[in-house]
Amino acid sequence: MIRAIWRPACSIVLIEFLQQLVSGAAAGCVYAMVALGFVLIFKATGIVNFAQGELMMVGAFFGLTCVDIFHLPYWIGAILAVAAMAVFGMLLNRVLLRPLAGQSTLAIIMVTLGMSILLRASASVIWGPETVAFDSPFSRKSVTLAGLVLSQEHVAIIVATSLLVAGLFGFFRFTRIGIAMQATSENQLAAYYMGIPVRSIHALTWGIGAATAGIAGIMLAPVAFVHVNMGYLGLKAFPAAVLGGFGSIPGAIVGGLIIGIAESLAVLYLPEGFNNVAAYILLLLVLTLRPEGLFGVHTARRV
Amino acid sequence: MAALFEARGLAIHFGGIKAVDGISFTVDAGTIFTIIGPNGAGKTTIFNLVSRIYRPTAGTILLDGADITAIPAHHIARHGIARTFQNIELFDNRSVLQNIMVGQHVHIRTNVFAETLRLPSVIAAEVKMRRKVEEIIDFLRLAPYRDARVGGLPYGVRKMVELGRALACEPKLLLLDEPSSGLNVEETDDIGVLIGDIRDVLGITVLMVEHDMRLVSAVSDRVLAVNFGRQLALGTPAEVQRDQAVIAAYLGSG
Amino acid sequence: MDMKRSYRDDLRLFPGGGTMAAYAVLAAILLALPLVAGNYMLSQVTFVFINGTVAVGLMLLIGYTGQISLGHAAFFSVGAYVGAVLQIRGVPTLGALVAAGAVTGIVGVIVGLPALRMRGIYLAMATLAFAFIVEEVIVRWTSVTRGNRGLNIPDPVILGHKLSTGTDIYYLAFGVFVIVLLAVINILRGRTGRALAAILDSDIAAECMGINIALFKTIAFAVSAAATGLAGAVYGHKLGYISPEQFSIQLSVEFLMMVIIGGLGSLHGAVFGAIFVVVLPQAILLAKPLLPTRIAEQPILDTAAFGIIVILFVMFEPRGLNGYWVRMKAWFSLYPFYRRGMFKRGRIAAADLVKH
Repeated sequence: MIRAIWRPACSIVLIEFLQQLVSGAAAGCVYAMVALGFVLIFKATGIVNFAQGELMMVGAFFGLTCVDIFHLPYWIGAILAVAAMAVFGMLLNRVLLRPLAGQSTLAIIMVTLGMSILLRASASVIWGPETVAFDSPFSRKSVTLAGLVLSQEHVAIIVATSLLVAGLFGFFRFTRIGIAMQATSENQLAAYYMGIPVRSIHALTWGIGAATAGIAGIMLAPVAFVHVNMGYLGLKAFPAAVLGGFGSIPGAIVGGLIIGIAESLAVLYLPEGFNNVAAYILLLLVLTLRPEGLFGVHTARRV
Repeated sequence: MAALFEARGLAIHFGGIKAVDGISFTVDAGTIFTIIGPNGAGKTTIFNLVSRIYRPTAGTILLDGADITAIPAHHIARHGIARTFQNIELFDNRSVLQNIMVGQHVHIRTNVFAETLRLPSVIAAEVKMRRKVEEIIDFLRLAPYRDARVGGLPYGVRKMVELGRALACEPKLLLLDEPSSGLNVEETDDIGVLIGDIRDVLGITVLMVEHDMRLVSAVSDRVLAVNFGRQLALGTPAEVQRDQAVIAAYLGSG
Repeated sequence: MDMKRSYRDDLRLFPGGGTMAAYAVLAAILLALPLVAGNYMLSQVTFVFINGTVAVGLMLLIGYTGQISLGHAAFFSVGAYVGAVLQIRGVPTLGALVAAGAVTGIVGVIVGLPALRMRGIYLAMATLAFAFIVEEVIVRWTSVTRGNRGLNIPDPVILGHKLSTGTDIYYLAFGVFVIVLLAVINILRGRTGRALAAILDSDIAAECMGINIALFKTIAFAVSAAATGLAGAVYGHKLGYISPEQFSIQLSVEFLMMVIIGGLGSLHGAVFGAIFVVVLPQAILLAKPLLPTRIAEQPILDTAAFGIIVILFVMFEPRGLNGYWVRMKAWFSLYPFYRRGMFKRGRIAAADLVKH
């Protein structure tokens, strides 16, 4: 800030803007990761998972347990936690969601809402209701890039999201299972007749969806602390998913970024309070003006 | 005879597919007009255009000389057009009575505030509506099923309930989408008699889509044959059945 | 064969003398309750009425038109704040109550309008977004709402009578509940109710019958919101103090669970749900000494129990408490011929009820 005194005013504004942009993008990446798991599960199984944010919370607690309680090295602990999340996701699918096949949207919403409450309560019983810090190798470090001072945690989130997206893209594009998963989400019955094991695909989708949420939780933990209610942040994944067309994976990423950036710019330029609801205002605007999302295709109804 | 209904150059394109491509016909008041054609010829699409579920790409629809091409779908009933559906679209969780009562929707003019207070005007309207509905229940011999939940009834009865609901709209023009589909030979004969009665006793003009040529010949005054969204032939049932283009289309050699 | 009675008979509120007598006895008991019940009991029943008012309004929307709302806590808060602010500014209580219902109804229309183009999950999200925005507005609009400090509400005065005791508020809540219940029953058995039912089962057929889907969905939203707003205003009077954190997203979820547990598509179910919501925390309070301390001391124990119960209901009894009620009635009227599984078909029907 001392150096800023003699800098021209416009460049202070620019730097402030850019730094806010990066921290917004980092937050957006977290939304994007949660939205990604949400969209994956929705596309493959038709289930709207209101507990996606809670999966993120559980992922953060898993990471915390591995690293701070079992004293594993950070990276091994993180990987173990993500793997545990994948198993956990498949378990949830088997116990709670598979029996719901063919139920109404409302029934499914109620079960996933109930699940989110249960996850919060269980986490509170297991890990306690306190807020806990969870340091990563990037905590409290910064990088300087062309005059911008960026937190390493933010950069790490952005890098991790990019890697995750690239990995998923490769998986869906080039592996047999990935292509089978895509086929299943396009037309479940046809996929079934083609000999694709639809049930296993669903289980796998839940595994990937939960693991993605887990990664988001572990990445978010050093920035926002770990606590039972951190899953509420996942509610902002819905606007992200809808913005992106609710069924499009690249859309979910872009939607998450838009929301993260909009929020952090609202801090800078709009009256207090707007940052809290920016995501929801965007959601209502998109739903009113372009219900198929920014990238969705309009489909006609049939008789 | 006066034309009740007229379609002029009706067309709808879905992307590059011309589902209906310039169909014109006139339905005279008090007649039964049937559209026939092979599967996928565009018959039901014409129906969906007339009942405004689809918006035509081109063409005009006239009822009683008034242009109804651009009115919203829910105004069609008010103008006097009611329809049934090929695959039965009933309100499955309601009773037969409640289903048919919905048909009277456009003929009751109460508003939600009056209904909330259950004003005498609302009760009077309900009684008047109920009387009309009971006439239809008698006409279609549905009395034994009056309070049965529609979802659990046999297919033939459900078709009757759907017809009853359409009649409760008190339409000038009744659209019947495949009235014989899913029915056996006897039931088809019965429905033929019934359609005749609808024209002769109730004085309602009928526009229908039908597969069963026996039923078509038995009741139709005029027949329009279509294929690939275009007109093949138009005339009396006998004329259309003799038409070379129609025969070719049905034999699949066209 | 068929015996047709006078059509007017069918239009009656109570199908037979027996039902009417049963409801008369129930009403008499509820009216006389303050004479025998203690303050705590009375207070709990007052909450049943308030929740019941919300449940009846929400049931109209979800159970009868299949529209999902995750934003009813926001309608509840709008009603509570309109009622409170007007009361504080000296508007007579009855006027403030009517205004609370009316304003919330108008807000319902505004929320309902974009909702017309959405269904199912989109609508749930739009109402969720709306709820967050309302919460933020209440927090920030400090000149009217005093933000997080909340509002103290003076005692209501109706027809010159100051309602200062728990008994007074009990009758107020009872009165509002009965009025809202009768209004919703009247709407459901009229033209609007038939139109809503038609839209729920087949919107295309409904449209072809001349039903203006947009109009009726908006009406459902408005009525549902107005009922919830009225309940909110009564809630404000019951507590005497309101603040934004009383109306969180969690409350919306609880409202939703209330109608699911009660049983979709039935006003009996709405009332059962409202009773359940009030009784559950009491039951948990009694059960606490039996639970391990680690679990018993959890602050969200009630909500967690709620979560488990709602999942169990969706999975094993989608018709909710009302399903048990219907079966119990059948058992008594068919005794000794009742057999298990008689309602299999009905169970599927209930599961189909909200399919959008």
